[in-house]
Amino acid sequence: MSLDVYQRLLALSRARAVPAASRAHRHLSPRPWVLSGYHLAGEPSAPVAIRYGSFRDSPKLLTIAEPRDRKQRFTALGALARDLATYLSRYTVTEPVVRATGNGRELDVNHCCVDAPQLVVPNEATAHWVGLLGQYLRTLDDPVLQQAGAHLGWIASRRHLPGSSVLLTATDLLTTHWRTGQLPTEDGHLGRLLAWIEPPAGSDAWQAARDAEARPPAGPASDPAWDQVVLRPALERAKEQGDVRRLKIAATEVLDGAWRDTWAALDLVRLLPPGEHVARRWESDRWSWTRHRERVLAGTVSFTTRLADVPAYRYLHELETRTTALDRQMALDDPLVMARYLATGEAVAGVVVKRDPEHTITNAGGRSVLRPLLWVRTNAAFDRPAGTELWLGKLGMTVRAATDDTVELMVVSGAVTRPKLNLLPETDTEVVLAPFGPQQHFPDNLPDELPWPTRGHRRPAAEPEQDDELDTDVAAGPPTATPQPRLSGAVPAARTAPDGEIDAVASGTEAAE
Amino acid sequence: MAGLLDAPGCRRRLALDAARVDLGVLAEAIGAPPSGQSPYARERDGTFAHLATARLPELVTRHLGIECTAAVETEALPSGPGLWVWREPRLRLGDLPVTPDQVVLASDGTLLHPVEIRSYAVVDGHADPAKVAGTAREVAVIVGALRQAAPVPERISSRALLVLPRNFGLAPVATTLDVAPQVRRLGWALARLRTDLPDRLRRQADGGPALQGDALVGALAEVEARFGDGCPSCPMYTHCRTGAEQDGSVARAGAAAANLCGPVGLAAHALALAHGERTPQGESEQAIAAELARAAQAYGWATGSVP
Repeated sequence: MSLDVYQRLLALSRARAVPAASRAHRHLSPRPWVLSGYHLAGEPSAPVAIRYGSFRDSPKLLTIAEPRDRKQRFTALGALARDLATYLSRYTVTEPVVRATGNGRELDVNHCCVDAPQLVVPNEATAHWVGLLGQYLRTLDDPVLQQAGAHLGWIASRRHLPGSSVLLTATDLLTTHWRTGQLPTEDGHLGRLLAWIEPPAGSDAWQAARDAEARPPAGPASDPAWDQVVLRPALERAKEQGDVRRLKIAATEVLDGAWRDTWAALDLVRLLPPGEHVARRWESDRWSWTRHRERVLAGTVSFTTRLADVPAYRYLHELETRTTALDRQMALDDPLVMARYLATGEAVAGVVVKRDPEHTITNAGGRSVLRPLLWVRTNAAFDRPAGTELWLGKLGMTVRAATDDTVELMVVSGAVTRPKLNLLPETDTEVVLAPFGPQQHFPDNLPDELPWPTRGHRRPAAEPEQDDELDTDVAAGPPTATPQPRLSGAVPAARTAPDGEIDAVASGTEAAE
Repeated sequence: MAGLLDAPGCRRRLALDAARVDLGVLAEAIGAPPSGQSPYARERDGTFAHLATARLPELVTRHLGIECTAAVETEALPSGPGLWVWREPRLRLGDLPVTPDQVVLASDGTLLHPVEIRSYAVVDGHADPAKVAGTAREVAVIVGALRQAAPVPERISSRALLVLPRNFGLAPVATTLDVAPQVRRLGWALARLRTDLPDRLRRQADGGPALQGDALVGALAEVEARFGDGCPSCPMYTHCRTGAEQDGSVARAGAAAANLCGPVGLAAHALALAHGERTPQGESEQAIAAELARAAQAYGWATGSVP
């Protein structure tokens, strides 16, 4: 998108990030659960220190003197599991929701949680780690830890669904709302990103970003030099003398930066007024949380590593639907996002210069129908062909003709009956015509043949319940999981792949150049 | 060497490899923190390599169909069937030395397959694709070097066996990994390796005294760099970054910006084109100016300011 490039260049020349959104496009919980931590190098299942909690000034700190010792790990993760359960227990209140079922003739009452939990982590790597931790907890032989694993599994699975706000990463929050002048890969560093958005007084973004780089990393991988110089002596002291004070001090020191930065990111986004569609997207998260809780209570949560063919089709369809819906909703909520479509020429900004509300055409049935005309003066020539569809809120229209500075449009929906003609814009009003309208339908009918061959002679698995249009609740993206309500019993351990079934597609990242 | 495939089109990175610059010396010269490995990662590597080596014959038999009972030490390229460990081989690729700690090879009598042991986990059948890609590049260097050393290069197979720990434990699993594309690209990069080396670096490449400090940085700066998204993994990253910042180069903002702006290399020029403060020269600049002007206008509309 050329607007992204322009914004990056502006940021680069001003040495300061420029806004990329004027609304908050993620739901921000009044009481999020923030988590940051380090694990032992190369071993995601061996946490060294984790800082978490919903209160900025009184975080909980968990340290493990010997992360490779199963027993100590159990004890520490048990504490985390109990605190997580306490936090989640706040979100059990439900309210009845009446919804139409069938063809809309019958009404059905469902119960939906009034609010859902929200986990906030500093960066993508930590979000990935949360998923791994959940997976690890599910393999353990303890009901409390398994349940925490199931919750973390659900939380991590929502990360892959565009528009979900259950698991937020501070870096994603900031890159959604600001554009910097550095490499996109450098935007993954929370400290650098914040330095671009709010450089400390007296220094520009370049210097501030370099300073941020010198501070301890946000995790979950620690600095190798810190491992050598600080962590190793602290762990040894804790192991030999049972004195964990040094470890706690060291952990507090390195995790403090990421902790404060994550809260700072939340503060920055909170300053923006929320986008109109945010609450609707959060509702889908609430429904998903409600269903997840029901499965946990019934003991029917399960995670699979690979989706069977039909659920895989449904999951891909949901991902595509959500991606498109999120892009469109963000643009409709926020002029700064809509500007991206103006920059590519898909949307049109201009002034209504003339209207003909009485214009009629003869339709295919031979009847005369009302199809008002509008003429819009634009700054730049509209270069899409006649017949292109444009929308002004609920008004759908097609382009009839376009000159260098005027577009002639015919309204085809939204205001084609006399009582609704007052919905047409008056002359001299400024309008922005978007390439999409508010209502979008994405039928998810299965094609006659799936575009990929079915594996083996396995019969298609039962489809997950369709609770909500955006709520098939297929968990954990690629490595994917889907809840299978048929299974009963306690949370089963994650199924492991047979030997040699490694998806090591080396060429995948190579092809990009 | 493998890093060469990570930064396509960068001549400075090419020169770095062609002149066999010592990365430690380089880091000191440009004031970058030396890269290191955590003691815990090293311990894990060692433990897993030990465990995996013990189970190698079984994995080789299952995945490559080669019957073998134990690894046999060798001092040269092995000829017979079986599993071979060649410690500290002195190989060359082009005229650059390739000196891995050890090369493990599985042979069925005609083809030799490299075996690579790494300690990043395969969780639920998925390994981190970025790490696998990195390993594939490194295996490609070994395959290229072995082919150069072999009397019949075709006997070295590009189908390698990659051994990784499964899930959260240290139980080894294996998969075959074909690095043929990486080997071909390596050949392509090697062919261009020495074409435009500055004199000072060429003398070093030919075995002359190694450059130090400012002399090294100065010599490298004579070769053009292409700053882009892959740069953070390069040892020259901090140096090139400072250069790009001082120049006000468009590439500092990433490959997307550099691609859109094409021949317009400076951010100030690109912005001047966007704001109509500079007359575009030639057709391509006109196209760039039109695209950026549209973006500037849209941004001005959305923020309510005139750019």
